[in-house]
Amino acid sequence: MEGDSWLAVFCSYTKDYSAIEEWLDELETLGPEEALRRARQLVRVSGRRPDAITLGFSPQVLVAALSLLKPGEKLVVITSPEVVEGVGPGKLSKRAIDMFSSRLNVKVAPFAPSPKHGPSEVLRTLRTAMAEVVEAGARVLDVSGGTQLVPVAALKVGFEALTYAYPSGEALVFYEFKISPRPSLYHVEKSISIYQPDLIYNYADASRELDYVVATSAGIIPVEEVSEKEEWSKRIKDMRLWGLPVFWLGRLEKVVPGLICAETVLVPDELGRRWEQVRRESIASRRAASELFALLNFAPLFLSPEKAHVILDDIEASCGYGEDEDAIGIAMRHLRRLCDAYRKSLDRRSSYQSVSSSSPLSEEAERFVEAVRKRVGEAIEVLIVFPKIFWRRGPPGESWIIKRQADAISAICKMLECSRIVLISNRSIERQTRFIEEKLKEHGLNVASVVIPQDGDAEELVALLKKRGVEGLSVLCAVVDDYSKNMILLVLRALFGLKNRSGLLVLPFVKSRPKQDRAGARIDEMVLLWREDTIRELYSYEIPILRPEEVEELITKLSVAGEWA
Amino acid sequence: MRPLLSVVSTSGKAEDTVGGVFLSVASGYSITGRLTAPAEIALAYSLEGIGRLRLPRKHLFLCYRKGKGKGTEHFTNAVRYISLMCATAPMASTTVWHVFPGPLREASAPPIVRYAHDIVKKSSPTAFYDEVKDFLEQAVLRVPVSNDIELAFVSGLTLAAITAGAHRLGLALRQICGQLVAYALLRGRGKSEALPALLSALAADTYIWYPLICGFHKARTLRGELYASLLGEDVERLSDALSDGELFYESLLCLARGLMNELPVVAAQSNDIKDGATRLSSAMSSKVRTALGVEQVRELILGLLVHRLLPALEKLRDEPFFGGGEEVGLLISATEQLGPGLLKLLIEGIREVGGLEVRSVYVLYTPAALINRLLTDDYARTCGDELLRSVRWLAVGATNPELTYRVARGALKEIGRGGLKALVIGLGHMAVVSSLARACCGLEHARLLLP
Repeated sequence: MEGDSWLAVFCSYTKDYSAIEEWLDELETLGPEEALRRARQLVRVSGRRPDAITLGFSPQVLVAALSLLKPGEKLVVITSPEVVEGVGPGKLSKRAIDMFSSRLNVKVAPFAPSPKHGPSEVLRTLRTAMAEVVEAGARVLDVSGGTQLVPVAALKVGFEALTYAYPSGEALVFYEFKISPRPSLYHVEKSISIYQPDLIYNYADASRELDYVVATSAGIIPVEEVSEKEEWSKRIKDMRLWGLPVFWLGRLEKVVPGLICAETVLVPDELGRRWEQVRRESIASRRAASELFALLNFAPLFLSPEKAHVILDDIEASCGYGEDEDAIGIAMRHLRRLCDAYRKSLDRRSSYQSVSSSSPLSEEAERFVEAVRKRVGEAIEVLIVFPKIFWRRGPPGESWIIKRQADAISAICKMLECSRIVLISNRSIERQTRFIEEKLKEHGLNVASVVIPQDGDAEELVALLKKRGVEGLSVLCAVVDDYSKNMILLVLRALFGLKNRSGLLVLPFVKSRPKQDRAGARIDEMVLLWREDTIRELYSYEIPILRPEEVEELITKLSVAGEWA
Repeated sequence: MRPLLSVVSTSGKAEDTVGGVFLSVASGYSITGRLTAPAEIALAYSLEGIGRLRLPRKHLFLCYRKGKGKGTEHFTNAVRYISLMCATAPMASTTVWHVFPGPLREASAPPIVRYAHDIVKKSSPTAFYDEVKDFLEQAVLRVPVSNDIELAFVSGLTLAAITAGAHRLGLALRQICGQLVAYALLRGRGKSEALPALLSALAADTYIWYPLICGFHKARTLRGELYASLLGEDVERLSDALSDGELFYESLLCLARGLMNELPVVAAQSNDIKDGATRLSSAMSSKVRTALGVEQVRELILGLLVHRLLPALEKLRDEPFFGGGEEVGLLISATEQLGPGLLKLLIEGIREVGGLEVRSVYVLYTPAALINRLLTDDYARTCGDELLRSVRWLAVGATNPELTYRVARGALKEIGRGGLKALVIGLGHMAVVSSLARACCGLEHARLLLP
């Protein structure tokens, strides 16, 4: 009668609990290996087999799914507290779980609402449990066990496919639903600011901030989360940006055509979850490799794919030089991973093997003051400043940006406890320099300026600096953004001639970096660096500094045509 | 309205190359697919305004060959989109004329009805070739392009550069294009009138339209850093000289004609690259002074090359580190002016002036030089330039100094491993150059040139 119990219980519908119990008795007698061998002969698969199941009160599905595993594989089982505790009809499934426990990975979540836990709470708990299963790599879930809330949760979480097991009278069949296919997710980046590359040093804000950019097997998908009613107007902005095919998450205003609902291809929960996996490395790269990060996100969205590939290859080649375990190394590895994901998305590849993820962030690097002191020396006696040239028609005092420049110089002096400043000026910025000089004097600093003609003479400059009493002191030359390289070399050579120990610092105008105030959804921002608080927070890897020994090497050995050319 | 330049392609290959390069560059390399291109692309200028407000405007005539069918609509639509709508494309707002080869047949076929309706509804500028033929033939500068791919490339690039807007990249494109045309001219390819015509058109636009449009927008949008980053005092001087809008056409055409006569003569007189570039630059600034009646003007198109880069190479003569005729690896940080012409002029200058053979080239570029990187590669592939094709491009960031240092250091070590000495040329933002200088420290095989 052995064959009859399999046909009656395993291959047919039955609510006869005593028959099921007898069948379980038989399984125990056979032992797990033999029981699964028997089951395998009576199981059919239409489509893909499940790698996870939700288990209700029918243990047959569990045995059938287990019979399909390859040696060494484990089956993920999501089941209810009633089954785990063996309460009522749950005791049947409990017996099966105990019998095959070494081949199972069991997760518990409620399947049915109760007076204490409403449907939405049950759904949320189920989603959390299922999310862990997806994260662990499960792609196909059998939903024949449990309540109707099970498939609802499964669809929200992002399984690629669902199966339903049913007995045909001759076998137990796993049937894969032809649900709308979702693309595979390769990589998720949250809050991407799109900067026009040629404006990157102009303190221009981003042209567009996308809530997510998702690399998938179907292509790169920009995503906007609807947070307010007027947000549809971004569609107009997107039209000006190559008609960026943005997918929208949330309740859409039905006021313009062409808004694509993201839920049809993406699972919101999965976006958040995947982002969390790379969040720390992504934020590190937005700081230590901010420009490459911006370029890397611009290229695949705004360049033709063939040209985007070229740029992704360049970035990957650059990042190939970063193998260290510090912030830069972590940032560079993250960018390589992102390059890889975008490249595969552009190629619409159906499979993707992610490059290995970065190790956790090591201890943070030094901040500005510590970094300067460590590289240049504890005591900086004079700050020699090369101010940025701003061409303006009106009085310099009317210029906000020139005032900020004076503030930045003053802040550097304050932080480094240096009260002497020499401003290097030339004819085109004499008025601005005089204005900055007066502003710095108002801050109680000892300031002098030296005007050097474009075709400046080194000996004349030595005499001028000597006159300013700079000879033999410890000096930090600070280039505020940019300046003529010849003039900088001229000054450095003059200082070397005067036996000064001179370091060189460059303080750029602006930089994109992670936001300090994370209240909003945006993760990074373009900041003006000419403020005390932003300068103070700069990490050593964000500040171009040449040590005095490096400056000496630069002017005595490295520079083509020698010291006084 | 006055026409300045007309590029006429006399073969299908030339049409494809001119149109393709124009569309790629003008779109900032968002479009690289080929579309049915016009046989003639012509550029004209008009001056519109109310009272004292005078706005110079450009008109682009896209004249299609007979029998090309409805595919021509796609090219026109693409140009209209990148010109009028697209925020990331470098092209300025331009009136784009779709010029039909002849009268349309009866508008009864559905595609024709649809297109005709679009034209009327949006009042899109269109014309029959017969209607504009006489006007376009008045263009001061006419460039016929047949099967010469390099000429086709620079013609498309010139059209893209001239139609680029008044912004940092717009000026950079004019400079990149000017250097490439100058290089071709000085390398003896200027026997025809095509190259001088392209350089003349570029110069006329850069010195007349560009300052005038900057002057128009100055008060409203271009003060401060953005304005300074364009041209600084030179813009104002030129802009002031043109403040009387009536001088616009006269200056534009006078400068174009003057240069067209002068540049071939100057190029023929040049002894070598440095001398030739200097002569071309001087000729341009001299003609600009005459045309605009200004006493002083900095030459913008070849200025960096002539006043900074090529003179700096003289230092190589006195550098004992490199042996005569030695092969070196070149590492250069890109500025927005770097392009195929500048790289070729630089490599040849290093050979002519410094006596060194450049065997491998590494270029570090920041996002600001994105288009320079793409354009150089595009030129190398289209024109089959093997040296430029072999350039290794590495992306860095001015505000990511440690990253830039590591990339530069890695590249320098690679050059060293290949048994070559490294010549490093530091161009661009000081933050990049300082990282480059740091990367050279402690490496016995590297020397740094700061122009």
